[in-house]
Amino acid sequence: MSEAQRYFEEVDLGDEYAEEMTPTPELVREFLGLNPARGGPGDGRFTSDEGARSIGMRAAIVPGSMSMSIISRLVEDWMGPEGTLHSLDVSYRRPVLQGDDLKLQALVTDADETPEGPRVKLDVYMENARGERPLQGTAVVELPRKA
Amino acid sequence: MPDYYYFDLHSHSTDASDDAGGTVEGYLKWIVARRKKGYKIDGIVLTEHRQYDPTVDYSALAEQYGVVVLKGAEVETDIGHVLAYGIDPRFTSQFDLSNVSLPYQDVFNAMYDYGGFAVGAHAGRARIGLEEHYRLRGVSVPPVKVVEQLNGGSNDEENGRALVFAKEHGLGRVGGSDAHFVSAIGRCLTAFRRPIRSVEDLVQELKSGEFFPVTVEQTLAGHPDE
Repeated sequence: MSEAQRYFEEVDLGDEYAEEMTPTPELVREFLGLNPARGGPGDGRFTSDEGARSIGMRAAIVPGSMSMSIISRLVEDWMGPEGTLHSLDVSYRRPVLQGDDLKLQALVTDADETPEGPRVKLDVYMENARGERPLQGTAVVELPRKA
Repeated sequence: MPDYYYFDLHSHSTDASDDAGGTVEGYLKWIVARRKKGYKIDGIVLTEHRQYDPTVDYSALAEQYGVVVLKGAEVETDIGHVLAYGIDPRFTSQFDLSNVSLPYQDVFNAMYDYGGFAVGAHAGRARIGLEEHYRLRGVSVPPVKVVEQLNGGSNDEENGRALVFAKEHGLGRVGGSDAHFVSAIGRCLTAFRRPIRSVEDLVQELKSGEFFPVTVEQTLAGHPDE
């Protein structure tokens, strides 16, 4: 997690921030709080390629709640400890596969002084090596002003 | 070397597409910011899902930001999604645009007959693109004349499949971002030889066959090769 603080005055439309991560099977199991020795929940879509294929998926997938957590962390890293995440809306457009190398991206699409305070709107997405953006969304954050 | 005019022929906004997160003004602000970095995007077409509202007017926003904003629709047929430009009232009277399985030959022919143009959207995508319906079901490619070969929501393999399909069948090829969020607008574009200021201009250019798909990065060069 980033400790760097970002300030409203520093933000411009089009600013980009990126991180990379790979949701490995181990990270998924950790997220789900599962014992790796167990088969996992339900049809196994989160714990084995075979289970995922049995329901028509290409390979074991990352839970949607984990994908959203990953993107939420991206936004928190971007804004810094004194920022406030007001909203995060995401759209799941394709499955996120375990082991995919993901580029996580946040882009500033608007920055306005509102009656409620300085607000920044971000587009956020994950992109895999196949050129797909399986998760896309928007976040609205409040950043502090410089003293 | 001639100039090209770059249009994003496929986009969705919060005004009418429930899966979109980008506003029309957000798109236009983003395009202005991209132009400052040297990219060239002359206009966009809003192709909202399964509907067309002739009363919506974006001319004030278009003038404010210096971007041409046109309207079309993305309708759903039995061979996948279809982008419609130059929609005549007779078309919306004939078809229930909320129907997700419209007869594609009727849709294409009606668009042509009523003075508009239709394009097979994201042609390389499974289930919602023409290529798979041709390969698995043997549907007729005519009356389709042009497909969206370069789609911003498709992966590289899908866009590659659409390219092979279009070349095999002698189809025209366009590009569109399929943007649902602000930063995706203009990611894929269509390069035209002549300027487009109205939907009538767009239909005329699509009928001319003189266009090709490009990525926004290609517009930096100014004169991309087809």
